[in-house]
Amino acid sequence: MKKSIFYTIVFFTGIFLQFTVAQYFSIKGIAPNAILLMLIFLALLRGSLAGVIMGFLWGLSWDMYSVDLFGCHAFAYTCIGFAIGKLSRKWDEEKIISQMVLTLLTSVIYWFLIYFCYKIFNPEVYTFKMNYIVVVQPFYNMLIAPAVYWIFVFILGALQFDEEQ
Amino acid sequence: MQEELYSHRKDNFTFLFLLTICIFFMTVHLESYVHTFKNLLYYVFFPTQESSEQIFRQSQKLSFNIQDIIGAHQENLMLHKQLERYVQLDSEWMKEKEENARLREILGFEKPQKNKTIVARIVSREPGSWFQWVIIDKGASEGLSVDVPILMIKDGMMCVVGRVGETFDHSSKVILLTNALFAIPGMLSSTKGDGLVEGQNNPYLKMNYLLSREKLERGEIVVTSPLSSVVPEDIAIGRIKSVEPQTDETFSSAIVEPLIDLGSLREVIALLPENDNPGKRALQRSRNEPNIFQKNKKKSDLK
Repeated sequence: MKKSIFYTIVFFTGIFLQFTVAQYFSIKGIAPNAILLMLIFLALLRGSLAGVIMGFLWGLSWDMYSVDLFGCHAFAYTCIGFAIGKLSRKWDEEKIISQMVLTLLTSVIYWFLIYFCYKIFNPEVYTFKMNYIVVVQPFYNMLIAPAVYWIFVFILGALQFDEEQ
Repeated sequence: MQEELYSHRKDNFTFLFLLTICIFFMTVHLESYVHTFKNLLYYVFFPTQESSEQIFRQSQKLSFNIQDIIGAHQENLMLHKQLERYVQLDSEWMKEKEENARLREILGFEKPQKNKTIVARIVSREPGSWFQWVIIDKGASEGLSVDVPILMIKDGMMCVVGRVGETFDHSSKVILLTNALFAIPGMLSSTKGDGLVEGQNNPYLKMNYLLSREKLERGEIVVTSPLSSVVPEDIAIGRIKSVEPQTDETFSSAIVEPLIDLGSLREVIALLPENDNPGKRALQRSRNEPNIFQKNKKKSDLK
């Protein structure tokens, strides 16, 4: 019960951060990918299953709001959630440098997955535009990753949730 | 060990299952039931999004309010300091004022006239031309009399609008400054050179009898001269629009544009001398002078 409450709160926090708050932190039209950052840290701290489910739900929510190819964000986030979850307890997520490196790599992979979906599924309708956002956003995500990690750990502590419970 | 293996399997199965759903969505994304599903999700989740947006906006407002409160507090402290200074200045000014009054009395100077103001609403205007006259809703009963100056504030400056031409009980006719009947001594604000400003029955005024040596510049403000017996000095009249070609060796003239926009005028201010209320005066006169019945009574007493 407590677990489901925790994941519900995390889910809506992600949605709130991405679709409401992130726009206020946009620089020249580039907003950080808050959901991706939360997904990385959730999967690192809670493992693959949490990463896969939350990635799918967040991605589906994104697809629901957007007019892009329906399912592409869900696909990208599910893959990322799974892959990062596999690194759980193998990657030192407390080190700032490792947080930043992982975020940068994941952000690049995220764009690659989106590009992949566009190319494979219906390339006539959806065309992937390579622009400065694709290049700059991973670095923006990388820079704010330590702060997001700190907030995430703080929320976990506040909810006093740990695996054993 | 077995538990861990089971957990891994569970993760992998879930991943593959959800991935299949994603691929399914992407493959059939144009199908109507996918659209319906998307719209249904949107319908369910949009209120959450909308309310979170509202909450965020409200919290932003709250932070702005806090900022405002802090700003107001700082401003309050600053104004307190200023007020302390002004209290001191006020006491100094009172002393100066008393001294000035005493010296005036010694020298036998007339006391400067104090004025009071009445705000009046324009109820009618000359239908043919808006540069002739207007009727205001204040008249003799409010203390207005012929030649009372009518003014208005524009951009923080008191400006001449005209003077009262005729008064009635509760209304008055105001002769506008652009009317050919209106003439007032004016002076240039920079050099204090005097002239006579006259209405032309058009949007502009003409300033005559300016000494030729006066340097007239376009845009210079013309104000009322101390020579005016109707309007107090230093009230803005208009701005020099153009300088007329000189025909006289001694005098030159200029076209002046009134500062007041007569077309959009809705309210005006009548400037009354503080102790000069004709109604009151009439009442006092009637108290001092015996009326017809009293006169008859006095006559009968004498008899």
